[in-house]
Amino acid sequence: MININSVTKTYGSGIKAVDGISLEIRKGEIFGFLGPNGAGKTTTIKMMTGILPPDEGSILINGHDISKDPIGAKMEIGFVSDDPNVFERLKGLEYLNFMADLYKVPTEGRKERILELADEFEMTNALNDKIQSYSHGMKQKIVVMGVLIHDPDVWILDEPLSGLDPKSSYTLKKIMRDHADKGNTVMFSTHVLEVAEKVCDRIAVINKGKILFVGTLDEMKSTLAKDTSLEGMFLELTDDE
Amino acid sequence: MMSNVFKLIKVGLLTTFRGQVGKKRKIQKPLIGVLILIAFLPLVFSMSEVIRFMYGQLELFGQGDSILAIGMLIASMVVFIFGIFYTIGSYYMASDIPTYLQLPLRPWEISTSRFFMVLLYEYLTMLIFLAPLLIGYGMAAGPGIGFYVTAVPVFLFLPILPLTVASIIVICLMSFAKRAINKDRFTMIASLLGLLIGIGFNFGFQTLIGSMEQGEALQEMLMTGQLDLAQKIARYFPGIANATKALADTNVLQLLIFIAVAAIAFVLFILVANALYFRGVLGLSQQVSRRDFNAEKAGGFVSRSPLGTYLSKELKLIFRTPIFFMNLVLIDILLPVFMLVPIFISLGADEFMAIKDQLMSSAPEGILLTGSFIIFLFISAMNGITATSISREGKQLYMMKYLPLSYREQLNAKMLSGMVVSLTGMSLMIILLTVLLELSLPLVFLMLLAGVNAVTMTRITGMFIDASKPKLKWDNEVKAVKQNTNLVLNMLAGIAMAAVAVIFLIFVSTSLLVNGLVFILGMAVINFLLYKLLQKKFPGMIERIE
Repeated sequence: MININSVTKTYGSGIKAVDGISLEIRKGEIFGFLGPNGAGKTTTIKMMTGILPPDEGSILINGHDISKDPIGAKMEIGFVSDDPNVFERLKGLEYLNFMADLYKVPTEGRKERILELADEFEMTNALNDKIQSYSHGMKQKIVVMGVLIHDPDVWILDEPLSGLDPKSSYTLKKIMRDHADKGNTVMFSTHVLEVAEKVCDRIAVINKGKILFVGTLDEMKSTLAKDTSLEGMFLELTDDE
Repeated sequence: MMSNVFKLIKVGLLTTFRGQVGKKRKIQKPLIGVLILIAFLPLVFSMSEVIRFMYGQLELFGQGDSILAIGMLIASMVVFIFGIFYTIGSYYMASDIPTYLQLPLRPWEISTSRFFMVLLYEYLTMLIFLAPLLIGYGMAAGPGIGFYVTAVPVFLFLPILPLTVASIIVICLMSFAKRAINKDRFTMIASLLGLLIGIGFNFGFQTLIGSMEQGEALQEMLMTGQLDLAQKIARYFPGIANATKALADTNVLQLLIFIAVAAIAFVLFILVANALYFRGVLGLSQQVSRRDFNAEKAGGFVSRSPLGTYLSKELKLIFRTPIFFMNLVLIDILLPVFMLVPIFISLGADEFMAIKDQLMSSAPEGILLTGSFIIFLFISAMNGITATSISREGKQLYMMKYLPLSYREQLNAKMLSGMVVSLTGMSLMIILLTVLLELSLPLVFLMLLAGVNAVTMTRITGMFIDASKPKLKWDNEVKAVKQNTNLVLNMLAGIAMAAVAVIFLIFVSTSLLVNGLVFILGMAVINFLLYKLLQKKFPGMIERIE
């Protein structure tokens, strides 16, 4: 469960990247975070994961305040950034072990978990190679595997599907669904509206640092009193601003 | 043809320096320049004093001029060692190289343009060594104006020979890159091999000639002044004997010979580069991956402590990234060894012992203790392992922030990685000094303690400097370590501290007891307090970085 309470972030130039937003992302749901480029999606995600401190407001991850109890909150999170270029000179397996150690995954069952994930993402043969030699999609996969290895309650993913091949994209979406169905929280940002339409239980639309809409797709349709595609509604919402 | 080389140099310099010219930099650049001057003045002063002292000692044998040869030999060795690293970085690893490969340029045009860019760096490096040498010699021997006039071309041409030798060795070795599976490891082995070939070749050459003169007779010749020490040293790098004569006697013919040697070497470099440069640079760009993971046999699924795993990650990244390895590890371990060994070899055991006895009898234990503090301060300040620790994270700095490991623990792991590398280098150097100078074990132990203090101090200042303003925007690793002002700033901080220690030694105390208290106990307390302060400030510093 994620609680975002009146969070504001202003960058040096005086522009409010995030302007007093509040959100509640519940257990058992996949939550999509939508918005045009520069809307404040990544800034919000950075604040949720402890990468940026909020200027005002608070963010709770399963009850842990990310500002006051950062380690406690971070232990609950699995974060996939939009930049998959991590520790390029580590081997895939070394990276997974590194993540497992930091998130205190015990030795027992670790091998099985890694091999199972590698098999699912078709990465087994590449485990012994340096991340440097991976393609963009493979790098993306190893980062996702690094998150899944410690089975966190809360997943936060920034544009997780970009660069993945269809099979891996399908696998990841399925894993997200399974994870949410087990009572966990999954939040991801995306530009791709079809994905949001198919995968998300609820969505939030953000533009210019403000939340324009939160709810299910049906609620969105009834709010706007229109029966068009998500794309149409999205454009209408963000254009009005 | 040559015009292409000039164009490439211009573009190369622009891409290297333009990225650093922003609004803020305008104020900082002159400030850093002034800082550099201020920090170097005491260093030049104190090193000049050392040169003057050594001149006096050598002049007792009538060998005063050989200080010039020794100084130029050390400068040449440094140029050669840095040359190997700079050459690999600039010719092969720089991110703009692939751009040039698509253009209709000949191999020698690209490599020659890189040669001159490296040469510029080498001049800066050499300045640190040659300025005190020329000043110290000038003060001691009182040569005429001709000496200073000759010094200019000698300075300009001195690095050319060692740099061409380094370049030729590197280009030959790197031409085998295509066959290597692990290109990183290949590059690192090539750089090490390059150093060994350079040193080994000279060693072989030396023993061949050196074996003709033996033992006591030699010592006697030295004592009676029949042996020209400068000549003997100069065999090590051809041209140095001519440069020494040119300087000491203002001999124009010798100067011309010296320049001719450099010119011949340079032509040879162009020929080799034209034949082999592309082979290496193209071979290196072919990534090979094995994809041979065997799930049944695979091991390494055992959990480790977060601190241990973080430390291991730091060390792996440093040891596996050729640029990091060469600049942050090899420099520390090899620089002292390669600087001491050639002097020892070129002098030969007997002469070395004679000079050593002379020096040791005038240097009591207090001086040696403080000296080791100063030397290790200086060497560890040259190493930017902590001064680039945050910068090296680059665009991935955000990982430090979301990983569930406190900043304090991350700091400890980063500091530990720096200490491990630097202390290894220091131990090697102490062992070498112990053997060469026949030091007593209690003294070695004290020197070790003073050395640990020196290393710890520069590691802490480096981390302070880098965490307060890391250079995170880089697209290739060379920029993170070599073109990083933080490394230079920490070097300056180390040099300034070393200068304070030299002044302490000259004006305050040379007693073992007093200096031991100051440089072992006193510095330990200062380091402890500094580290406490760093631990307190570090989280805030990292959080402020956006």
